[in-house]
Amino acid sequence: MKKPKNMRILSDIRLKGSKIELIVPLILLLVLNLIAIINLECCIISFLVFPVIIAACYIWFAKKHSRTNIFLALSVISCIYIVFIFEFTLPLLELLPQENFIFVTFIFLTVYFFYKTYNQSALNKLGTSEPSKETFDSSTVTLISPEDEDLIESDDQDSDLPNVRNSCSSCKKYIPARTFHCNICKSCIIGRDHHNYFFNCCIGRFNHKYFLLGCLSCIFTLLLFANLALTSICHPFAIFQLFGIMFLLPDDCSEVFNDIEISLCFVAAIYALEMALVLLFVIIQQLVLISKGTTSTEYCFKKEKSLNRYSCFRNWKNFCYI
Amino acid sequence: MRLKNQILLQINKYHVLYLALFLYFIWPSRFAMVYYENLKHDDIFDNLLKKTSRNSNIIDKINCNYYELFEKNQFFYKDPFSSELLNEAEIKQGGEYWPDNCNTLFSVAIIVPYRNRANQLKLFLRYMHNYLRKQQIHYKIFIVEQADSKAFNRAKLFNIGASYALRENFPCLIMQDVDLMPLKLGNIYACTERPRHMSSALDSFRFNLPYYGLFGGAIAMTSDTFIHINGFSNMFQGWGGEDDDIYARLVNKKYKIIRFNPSIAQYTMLKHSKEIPSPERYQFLRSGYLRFDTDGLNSLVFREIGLKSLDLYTNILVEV
Repeated sequence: MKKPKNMRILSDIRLKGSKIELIVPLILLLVLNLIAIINLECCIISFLVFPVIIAACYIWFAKKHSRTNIFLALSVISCIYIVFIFEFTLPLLELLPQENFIFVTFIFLTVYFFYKTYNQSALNKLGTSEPSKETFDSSTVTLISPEDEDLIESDDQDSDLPNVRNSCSSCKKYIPARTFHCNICKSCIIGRDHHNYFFNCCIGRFNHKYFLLGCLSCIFTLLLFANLALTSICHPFAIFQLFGIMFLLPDDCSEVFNDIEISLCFVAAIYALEMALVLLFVIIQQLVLISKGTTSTEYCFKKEKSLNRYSCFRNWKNFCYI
Repeated sequence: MRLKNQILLQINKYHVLYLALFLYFIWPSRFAMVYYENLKHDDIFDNLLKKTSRNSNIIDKINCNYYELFEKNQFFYKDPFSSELLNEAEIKQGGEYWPDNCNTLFSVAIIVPYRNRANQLKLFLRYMHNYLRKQQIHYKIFIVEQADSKAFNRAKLFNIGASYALRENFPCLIMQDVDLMPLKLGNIYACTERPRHMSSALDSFRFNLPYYGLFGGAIAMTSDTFIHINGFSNMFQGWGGEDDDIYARLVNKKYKIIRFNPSIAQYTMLKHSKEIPSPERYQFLRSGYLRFDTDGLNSLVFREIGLKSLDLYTNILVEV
């Protein structure tokens, strides 16, 4: 889904996981693309099957609570795939250098933000960020599950009640408010939003910003790619003109499957649109939750009290200035 | 100095590779032209060649007014004009027209090579007659039809059409494909002194110009220029190559091409399946300069099968 293109992540995959975790998504993507370029029916079928396979894998791994590099490899491969299609198979003589520059810039921005998301995730882990403060003698603590509603009242930013402390049953230590245990990372995560399989890390307080920015720039890149690809391989028409820049949309893509390079571009564009659709749901969910001043985890545990703490504006201010 | 050394030391072969890749990604010649020399609305009229082939009654009429054409630059490819032929009676036999109420300044022969695309020809004639009459020019449409089943020789058909048009003393030749339609009314069908590439903002190229030397689609040049460069080459059979060859011929004779502003020179291309490019085209193109003076208008050999003056066009049926 998302795409950090970084050699270190690639080498991480090679070292930590087995090679199968890199090869499986590669083969999956290749096979589905090869099926999709045959004709329109095959294209539709393979793009209906692809999200089903990914969703099934995701649910399976999520139930098992196990770490896997498959999704991370899929994001990296998708990124390389889209850049490759754009730079080498698209009829570039129909595109302006400015359009390419914007595309390349946003690819780099997306990779930077997602790399930052991956990189900063370690800060979320309790014990690594504030070890001295939060380590506590576990034997003296009466264990309270984080699901207990009444105790997680105070926002740690303006907490007036330092005596009310929560604790984690798995880590056996005190935790600040809005902190939840992640079974996959095997650690408590400050301001946990969700565990993201596509980066193999938790989205928490310290990388939530980068995750949202990454998603936004990623969806822009994907839509830009899909538009540029479809308007250059199909017959375009101008919808409107602004400051001398024409905005085009494709109107007739009936002949894309006659030529192998053109159909490769078409399939990549459809793939980008599919990813953009998934990202759109993620972004809408994130925007709504952030406006309400809560996170996915809190929302899942139905912390009604955590909803609408402050005004929408203040929630965003809190989100931005951490 | 020390800092500089540190930075230098940190550069390894991967950085060079990344830089090379980045430079390749943004290399400008892989993409369409950002800017090319073009004529703006105000300059067009002064640059046009004002010459007619008809000696109509010049005394009793005033000259036609063309300023509104460039000033408004109306988008013309819309419903009444593209769907039906208006005032069909105005068009003279053989697809010729000149305005009766004023004295036109331009005479143009429009030469269209054609084979087996009856549907597109119908659309083309319907729209172009509406479009060209609005521009108040004297024009005649020549459809040059290849009768044999050999590979389509677009360039030679242009030469044949031009030779017929030259017999009728047309000072300006416009050579166009049957699937191209001009969108804006300001794109006047007349010649500039310099050879003109008319379809520089084609919608199937996203309204961009792929490269400077592109000289295909719709082109306009004066008859003198066409004779001077010895027309097209007759050798290019099948799709592709002949447009690059005529550009080479123009460059060889020190002509510089001109284009109109992209806001004026917009064209749309009708749907049709892509032709398979001829495999020999590069070979002919590379050796093209050897044949500039021997192969062309002066070595044109063909067999005329029929010359018919139809209601909407003059049909020249030939075997190449």
